[in-house]
Amino acid sequence: MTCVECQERLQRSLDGRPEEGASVAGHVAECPKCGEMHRAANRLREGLLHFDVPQAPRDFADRVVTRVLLDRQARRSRRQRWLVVTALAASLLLAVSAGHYWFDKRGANPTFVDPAPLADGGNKAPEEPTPAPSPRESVAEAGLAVASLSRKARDETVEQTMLLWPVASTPLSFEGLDLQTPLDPPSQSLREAGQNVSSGLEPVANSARRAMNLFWRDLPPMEPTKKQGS
Amino acid sequence: MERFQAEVYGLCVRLLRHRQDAEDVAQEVFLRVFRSMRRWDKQRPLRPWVMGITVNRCRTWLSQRSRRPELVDYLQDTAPSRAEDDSTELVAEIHAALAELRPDYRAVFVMFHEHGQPYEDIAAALDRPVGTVKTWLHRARAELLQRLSQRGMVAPEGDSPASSTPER
Repeated sequence: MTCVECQERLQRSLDGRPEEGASVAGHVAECPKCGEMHRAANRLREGLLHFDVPQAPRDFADRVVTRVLLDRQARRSRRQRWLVVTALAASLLLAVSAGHYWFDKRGANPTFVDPAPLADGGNKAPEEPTPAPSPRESVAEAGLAVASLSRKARDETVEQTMLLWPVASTPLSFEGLDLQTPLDPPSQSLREAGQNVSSGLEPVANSARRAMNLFWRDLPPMEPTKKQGS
Repeated sequence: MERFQAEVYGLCVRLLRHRQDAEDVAQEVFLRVFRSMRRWDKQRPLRPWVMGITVNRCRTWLSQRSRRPELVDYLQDTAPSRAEDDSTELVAEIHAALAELRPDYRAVFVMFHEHGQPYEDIAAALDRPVGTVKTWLHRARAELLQRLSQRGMVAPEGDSPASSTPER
């Protein structure tokens, strides 16, 4: 048996496994080093038998329970605090997003545009004020506008003239017209119109007169009534 | 909590070697267990999960403590002495040797020899392969044996039982 095998046997015996094969007694008796180790192993076994298992303090369990409960309470309050902070942050984020969206829509939609920017003429964003033009630029822009208007008026006049020119260029003819007879005065015309209306209404008036005469003839004569007590 | 209280606290004491620190860390472990209970996969065993949290918290605590001034280790002074022979001294030597081990080795040793956890549970708790856990445990034992031998805690050669039944 070699020293290595002897050490393996020693470890196996310390593991608590039963020894197998030949005994190490012969090798241990011959090898002082392995013999020393075997005696030390026996002392180790002896010492382990006297090992005292450390005992926890009596109130150890109570302390642990108290600590666990405190820890749970602390974690719960920490979780609630975290929830509150998260809710606040979410609300703030929502408010900022809504505000941003509203301002964006206000800038893009003309119905939300303030009257003052509209008066300035356009859908320009209020946050981008255009710089005021210099007097020289204003005069130049006004001149260009006047020239453009004049050009447009000239073109329209020319077009209308071109349309009317064929009619205006034909000579006027007065043949067939009685230019010698004077026109009727207005009073004569009105009198004639009244005579025509009265002649038209005459048969109607005669019929109405006859009907009234027949009505009066059929009525009984009226007698005076006596007063009672007289 | 009562089911794992002794193991969690004991592992914290062994890894941190300071009772007050161990109590604080053990409380923190249970706090984290209650906080993370919803995330725990019910198909998996609870014990390795709780012990894994314990080891991780102890590691973090140790790394934070390494930046602070060294604390006085008074565990040996407060350890109860019951035996009449040299077992008290032997236990103190083992504790001192344990304190010099790497935290990973120490965790594996304590979980295996004190709490009796199988390799698979330790591997699950430490999130390491079983082979790695075995290697760490073997190295931890070798260092402990070396230390006991150097400190004169080994019996003379004459009355050594060469092969003894394993006890755990």
